Amino acid sequence: MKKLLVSLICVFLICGFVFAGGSGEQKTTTGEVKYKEAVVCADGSQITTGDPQSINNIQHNRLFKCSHNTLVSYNSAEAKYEPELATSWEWNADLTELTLKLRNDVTFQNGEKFTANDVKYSYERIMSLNSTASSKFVGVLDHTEVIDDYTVKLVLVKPNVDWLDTLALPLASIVNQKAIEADPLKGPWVGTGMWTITALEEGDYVHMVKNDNYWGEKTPTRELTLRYMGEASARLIALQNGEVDVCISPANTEKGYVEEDPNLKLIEIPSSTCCYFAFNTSKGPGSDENLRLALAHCINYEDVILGASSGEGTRAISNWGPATYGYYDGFGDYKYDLDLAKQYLEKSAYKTITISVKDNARLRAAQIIQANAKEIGLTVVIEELEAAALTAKSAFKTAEHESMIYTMGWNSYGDDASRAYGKNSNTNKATLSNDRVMELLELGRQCTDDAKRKEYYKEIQVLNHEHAWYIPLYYTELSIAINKGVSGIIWEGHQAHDYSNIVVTV
Amino acid sequence: MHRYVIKRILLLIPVIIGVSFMIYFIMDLAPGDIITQLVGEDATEEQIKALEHEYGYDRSVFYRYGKYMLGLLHGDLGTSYITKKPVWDMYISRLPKTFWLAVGASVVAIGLSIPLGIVSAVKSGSLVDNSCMVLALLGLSMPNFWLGLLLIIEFSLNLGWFPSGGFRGFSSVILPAITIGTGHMAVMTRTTRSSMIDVIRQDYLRTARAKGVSENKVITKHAFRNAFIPILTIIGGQLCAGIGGAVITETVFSWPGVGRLIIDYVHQRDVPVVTGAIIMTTIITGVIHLAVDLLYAVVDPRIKGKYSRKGVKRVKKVRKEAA
Repeated sequence: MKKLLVSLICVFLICGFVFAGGSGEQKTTTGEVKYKEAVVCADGSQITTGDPQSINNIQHNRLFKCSHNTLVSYNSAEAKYEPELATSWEWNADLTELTLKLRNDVTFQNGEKFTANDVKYSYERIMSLNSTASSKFVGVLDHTEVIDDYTVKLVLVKPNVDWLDTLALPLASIVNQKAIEADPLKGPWVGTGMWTITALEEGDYVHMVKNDNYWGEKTPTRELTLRYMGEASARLIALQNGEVDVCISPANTEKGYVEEDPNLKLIEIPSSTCCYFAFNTSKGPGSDENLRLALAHCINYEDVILGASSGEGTRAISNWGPATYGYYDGFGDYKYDLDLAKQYLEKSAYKTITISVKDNARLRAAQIIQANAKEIGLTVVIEELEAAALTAKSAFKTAEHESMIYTMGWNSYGDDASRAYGKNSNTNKATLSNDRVMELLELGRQCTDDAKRKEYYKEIQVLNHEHAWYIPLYYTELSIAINKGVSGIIWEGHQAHDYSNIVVTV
Repeated sequence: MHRYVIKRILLLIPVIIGVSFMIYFIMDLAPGDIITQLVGEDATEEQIKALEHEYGYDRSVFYRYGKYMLGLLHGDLGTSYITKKPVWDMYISRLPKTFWLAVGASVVAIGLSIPLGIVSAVKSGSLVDNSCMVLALLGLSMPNFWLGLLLIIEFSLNLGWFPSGGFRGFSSVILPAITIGTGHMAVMTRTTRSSMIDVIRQDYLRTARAKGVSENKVITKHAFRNAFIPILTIIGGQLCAGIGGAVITETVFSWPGVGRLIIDYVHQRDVPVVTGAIIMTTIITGVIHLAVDLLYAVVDPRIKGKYSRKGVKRVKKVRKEAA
């Protein structure tokens, strides 16, 4: 029996040695600098599809920025729209028609030539999909006209100055009709981007190889893998031992290891994600302005930041994203003033409110708010729900929640506010249906005068501050741990980083 | 024997119907539905209605269940609401990974627990026995996520022997297999020990010893074979649990297995994926249990005799006489 046991252990160890480590590291050389041929980026969120038009979230958008192109792109550093597959564009006088000239030197990864017909096909497909992506197009784009092979006209239902932003979103990526008709599942993977998707193992990784026919500047990196690693500690260890080159969101408590390691680097960038307290203003305690203001003045915001995000956050004054068009915070913050809070509470008919939360960070924030509220005599009940249950409970039509703690990742364009304030929007966690706010949003959508448009958005934020529909808590901070040799990534506050030009020097 | 196998396979049918029925209705009762997950924040009323119609959410849960079962009769496990992929493809792509993990964990558990259990039984009451039992208890007490991370730190980060996660061939199986296997080991060691203690006190072993058979042979050949049936039951049960997925270990090791597939899609209320994956797991579990039952006969010829025609007749005759 001893022999058997020893043999078993030996077999395990020998096999481990033989198979451990995976493939050896390969390098490419450009001049004097040597680059890693295969680069791996690890993230805690998984990628389920390579179809850019079927989904619109951070982890998928990172993929689609590599594999596909849009007509225009948004340069967040310079806050301007830049040509991508379109070379130029022109609005008509009443902002209902956008004519775009297209590049004539682009081919899809399957060898097909890119023309205006692909734009028409792609946008019509988005509208027909009934996906989260299609809701950005339905009701906005009326139809697409092909003027010639390299000119296309987009006719809108009504004026929308943020339409270019929609076109810059990865969901508006151009796909290839022939590829999709040949294979409805894998066909949408074919784009015109720098990277060709070769394998998508759901719950594991997406593997891409460099598209040698790419129309733009090429990277020396040959292979790019986006790997799903759900556990933050394991993800960081994979970076430390060289299995991956980029580790998105290491655990706050483990950032010290990155700082101590001479081969790693910690990147911290301000995020556009705002964590805020949302009252259901349509009924119950959340409909009482005095209760809302009482809570706004009794919260110890520093404690919330410390408790919920280990101090890795910045106090939010407005509930808008700090880089979002029209951001305003001139009204100042809600002062921590228990006497004032008590005065408001005395005027309120409600002395109890329930906060619905779904994850640990928000639960901790709710617990701190619960303790703060107790000091003024307000009872806070915490209801912890699973994500899907909370989404259903707090949807605009259902709106069964009394209040909740929510985090919203803000995009840069002004009309993103429609998500937080718009009627029927499921992100409108305040269930707000305020006529003036709706009017201001509509005016903002149609206004080409920059100063005027910012005034509209300022008014929305001032109104929110006065009525405390949303109480801004904090902006999260983004941390990314990388191999010191990594460069070429465009880091974004909304987290949809662009890995297209990633290189790792060795 | 054949009749017994066919009967057991047929018994799986009501089990599948019961399981699928429960999953369908529990997921329908759970707050949140797929439509809310699928539609965007700005979805229009028409879009929502179109989606509801597409997935049958404008009709009763009985209709949806009936439609699903009709598809199942034709061998169709359905299509994922989220990925639009056939559930069969999604499940089959994960099954080999889960299978390797389950087998790996069983190998670790068997490899450790059987020698420990035998030694423990033979040296019953001694320091060795107590040490083995403490070791077994340790395996049971250590939370998987903690042990998993500890193994990753030591063997992946410090020694660089194994990858830290993901399915990257054989080397990636070892750490998660040890993580799960040590938990299984505890139960199996205790079962082996108690089963062996029962057997080694039997008269036939005393006779064997009296006849001059070596102690090693007495223990490994005569005692262990008779003590193996309860251990086999535990092995089968743990293999089934492994096929169902070890969600915590799969998460720590970023293992793309069946357990995480089911959990991920439960969160998204993707009913066909959850139902299909659980039905497949039910079938595999049934088959493993059947295999374990058949192995009883291999291990113990008396059981084989019971299921043979002659054996059945003999049992009937004995019962008749007794009556």
